[in-house]
Amino acid sequence: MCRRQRLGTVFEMLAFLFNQIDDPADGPMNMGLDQAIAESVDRGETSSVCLRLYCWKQPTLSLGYFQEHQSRQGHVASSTLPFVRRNSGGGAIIHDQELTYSLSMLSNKAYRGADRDVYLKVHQAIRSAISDLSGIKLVRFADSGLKPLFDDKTFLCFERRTDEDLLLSGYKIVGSAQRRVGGALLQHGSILLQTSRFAPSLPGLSCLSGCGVDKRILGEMLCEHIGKSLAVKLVATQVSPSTLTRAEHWAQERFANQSWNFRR
Amino acid sequence: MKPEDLLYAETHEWVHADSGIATIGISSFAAEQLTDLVYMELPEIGRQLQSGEEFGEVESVKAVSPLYSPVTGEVVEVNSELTGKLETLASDAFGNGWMIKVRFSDDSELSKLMKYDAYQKQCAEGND
Repeated sequence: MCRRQRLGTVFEMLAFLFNQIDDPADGPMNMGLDQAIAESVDRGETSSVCLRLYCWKQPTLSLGYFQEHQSRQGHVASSTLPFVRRNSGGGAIIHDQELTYSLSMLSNKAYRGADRDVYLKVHQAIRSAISDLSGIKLVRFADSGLKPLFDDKTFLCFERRTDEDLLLSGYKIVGSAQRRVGGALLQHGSILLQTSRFAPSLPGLSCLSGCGVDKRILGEMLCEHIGKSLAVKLVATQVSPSTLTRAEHWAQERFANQSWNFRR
Repeated sequence: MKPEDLLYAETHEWVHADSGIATIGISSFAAEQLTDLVYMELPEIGRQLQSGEEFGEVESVKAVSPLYSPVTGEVVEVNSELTGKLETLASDAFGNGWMIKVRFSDDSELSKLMKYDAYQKQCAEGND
């Protein structure tokens, strides 16, 4: 269902925003919701662009899809946290002092692999949102002049570097990863706001800048800028009952299941 | 194998069918898009696949992409060397880059796949 709204003489596509910052779910349900929303996009049951902003009911570690669960042993600070395996790639994220987003959108079926254009647009929007909110200027890793890290398969996502990562003072503040879900693209991303005691080596935005950042206000700014960047009008709504049912199914059958989380 | 002799799925898997065995891989077009491959997962021998079902996954630059089986049948052989030599996909997608062999029984599934010219057209349109 691709809805369009007339705004003067300009047609702007309506996209859905699921703002769940104040209604945090646990790890399996957060991943189940993202999977179910991406499937809804793929099936044409919702807008072709859906943005979800969310937090986590308790500090949780998410592993990248291909990471081995035993690699957790090397990161002592997060060893007590529950974990869930994402279906997107990349490294582990400590979901504690950060804001998570997922973007599900129809993608060109003729392509495989990463959609760099989506990375670029969304990260540019995040840079603008943070700049407008606090005056802080994040830099793309590709533009930072910094050299690639020697070991780019380190455990934590925020210790890895790819071109579109956003940095402040050389530290990664924003990272994202993608997965193809049929004809849809699911992009997960994390904005590190504060230093977490479960990942003390990673300074957050506030620690580096001295500026406090409110998640809710940042969420509003993100909607405005991501909407602009993707040329859509984001409208806040609730996840439909059928999508919610499917999310619960995925949460229970996959993301809370040991055969999934310990699969490698 | 010559690309011109193969059949193609919309999702870029190629198929070479011979005596009830379908050899399956992904096209060089798809392999080029999967830059900087870091991981690949292929199925176990003996797994039953439905046409259109995921049989594996690849990760490139933090993006995970599923691999879809174009035919229904049983996995009878897996190119296990490929997961340790992912660069083969870029250099020889239609040869040593094959992924699995599936014993299939429904020939009609092959007729739903594209011939080389139609697939080339799809790739060209995707680049527009």
